[in-house]
Amino acid sequence: MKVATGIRRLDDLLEGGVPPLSATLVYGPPFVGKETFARLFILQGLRNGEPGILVLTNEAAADARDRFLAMDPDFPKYEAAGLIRYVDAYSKAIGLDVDVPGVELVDGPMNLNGLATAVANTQRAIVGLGPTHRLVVDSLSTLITYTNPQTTFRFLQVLIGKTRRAGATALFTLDHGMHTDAEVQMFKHIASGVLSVKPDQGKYLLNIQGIGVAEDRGWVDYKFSDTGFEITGSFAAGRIR
Amino acid sequence: MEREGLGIPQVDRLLSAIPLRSSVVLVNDPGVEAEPFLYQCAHHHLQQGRRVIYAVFNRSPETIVSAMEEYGFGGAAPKGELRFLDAFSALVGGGSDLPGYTLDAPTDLEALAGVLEEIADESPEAVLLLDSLSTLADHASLDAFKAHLPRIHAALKRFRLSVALFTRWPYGEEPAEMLAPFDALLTLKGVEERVMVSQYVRLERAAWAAPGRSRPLLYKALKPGGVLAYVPKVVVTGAHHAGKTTFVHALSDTAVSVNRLGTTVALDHGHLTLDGVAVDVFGTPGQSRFDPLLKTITGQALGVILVVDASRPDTFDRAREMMALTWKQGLPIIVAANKQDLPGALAPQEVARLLEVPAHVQVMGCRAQDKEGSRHVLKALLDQILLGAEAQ
Repeated sequence: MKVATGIRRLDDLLEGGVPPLSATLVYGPPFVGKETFARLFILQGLRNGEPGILVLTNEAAADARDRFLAMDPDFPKYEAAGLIRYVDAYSKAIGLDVDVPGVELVDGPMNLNGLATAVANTQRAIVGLGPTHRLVVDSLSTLITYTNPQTTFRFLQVLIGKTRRAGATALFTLDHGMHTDAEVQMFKHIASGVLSVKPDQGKYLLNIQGIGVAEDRGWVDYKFSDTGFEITGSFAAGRIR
Repeated sequence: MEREGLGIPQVDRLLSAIPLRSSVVLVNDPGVEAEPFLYQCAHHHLQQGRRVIYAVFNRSPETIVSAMEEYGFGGAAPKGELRFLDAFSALVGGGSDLPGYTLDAPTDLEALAGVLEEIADESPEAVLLLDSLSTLADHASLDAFKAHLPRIHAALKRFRLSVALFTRWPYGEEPAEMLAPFDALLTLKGVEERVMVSQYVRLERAAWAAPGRSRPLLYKALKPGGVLAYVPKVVVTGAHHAGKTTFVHALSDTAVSVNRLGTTVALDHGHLTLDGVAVDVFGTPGQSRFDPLLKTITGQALGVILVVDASRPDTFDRAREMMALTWKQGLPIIVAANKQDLPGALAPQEVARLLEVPAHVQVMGCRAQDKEGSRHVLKALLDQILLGAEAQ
């Protein structure tokens, strides 16, 4: 049983969704909808009663919550049920007060053991809510910037192992243009697959490698906003036209 | 000879007394709480009036102060002085207003060793806390870390006491070998089922102790409260009306019971902190119709207290049955000869004789209503549990 992303035509393309317990890298330049996609992925789980953990390295939990509220009017219900949790490695580092339910604060993105501990604490808090959950790390690029690619890679190796064992299907965002090709390849290598996004002549294109789909099906058009993400390119019988 | 400790009572029992100028390293698995050990150690030595140098490489000195407050280690230290070796701010282009030293090139391990030597010259009686060695390895490179460790370690040995953290990221090399120069090594690990359910600390080696590793000591890091050894289940059992519920409530900081008409029909649960140990206590029902529940209530217990009514020898057969249902050989146990205040109550030695308990089982007189007396019994059991944990 695949894990639906909540974006209907993308799920068609992914033959139902991403594989359970997979770790997908969402890779592309800034401002092309990676964050919206990642949050919709969490929301889809919440709608099905599946807990979600959003690990934030460059956005405050309060802002992420505001975005969720704008995306789904039922979000307060998921919040009241304790389904949504945040690991916020941003607010404390810049001195923001945090008044968001279900948040674990970390004192900065360089404190990787603090980050791993906060994720472990959060998973312990939700483990009774169901056998699986969703986890998003947004973004790896901040961790790499504050540490270095090798250190972040080791962190990710541990995190993927632990979250799989905990029953999590994970997404990690990585910014194009901030890292060398060799560094990007290193992170692609550890992922179950890559969902690449890019702007192209006034349009946005998406490509899937791995993630349980055998063929590379080329690039397909999509559009996005702060609250939505939709595939607009046509495809049939599982293939992009 | 003058000795030192980390200021964490049960961990200090594991370590015995640390000779001056010793270096201790705590090697934690990722996701296991290690930093609170340093916060508590800093607090302890500040309270002793010492200077504490906290070297930090992955977050600001201000966040250390804030974290210490969260764990309950804020407030004034009348004579102590906390200084930072700030090897973080230069990486992010900031600065700290807190007193101490700044490392302008935190990735330069040669420079770090030099600064540590200077601080050791200036403050040889200071306690140095280093958070963390693995961040040094991450910043520089593992090879550079290994190359510079002998000089860094030699500088650490010049302080009154030095305690360092090392997170066991997948470096591809065994930390214990890399960290061989340290005088003592403790490991902090998680007990993982689907997720990490608990954490434990184990002494792997100490230059001043007999060779061999200790058994694991479960711990919790509480905000506030700091690092406490954790005994997740002590079972209090005994015959109907022996005083189990009274005993659990008297010794606990907080307790609840599932009662009907004054009799426990499911269990009693209490929680308390005693001598740096957090304990969860579970009381069983005493009536035989609840015997099927006992296996569930007593599963994975670390120790048993058998409460008997010392004024009612006619209940001892049932007490023996309860002991058989809840205790197995090797598990720490204490018999609490309760109701010593009642006329005709038997002395503990007589209770031991009539109950026919094995010779090594300690029988202690008590009055269950008396908090101190009940805690005295529990403390004797905890000593058995934790001394067992220290056995080589």
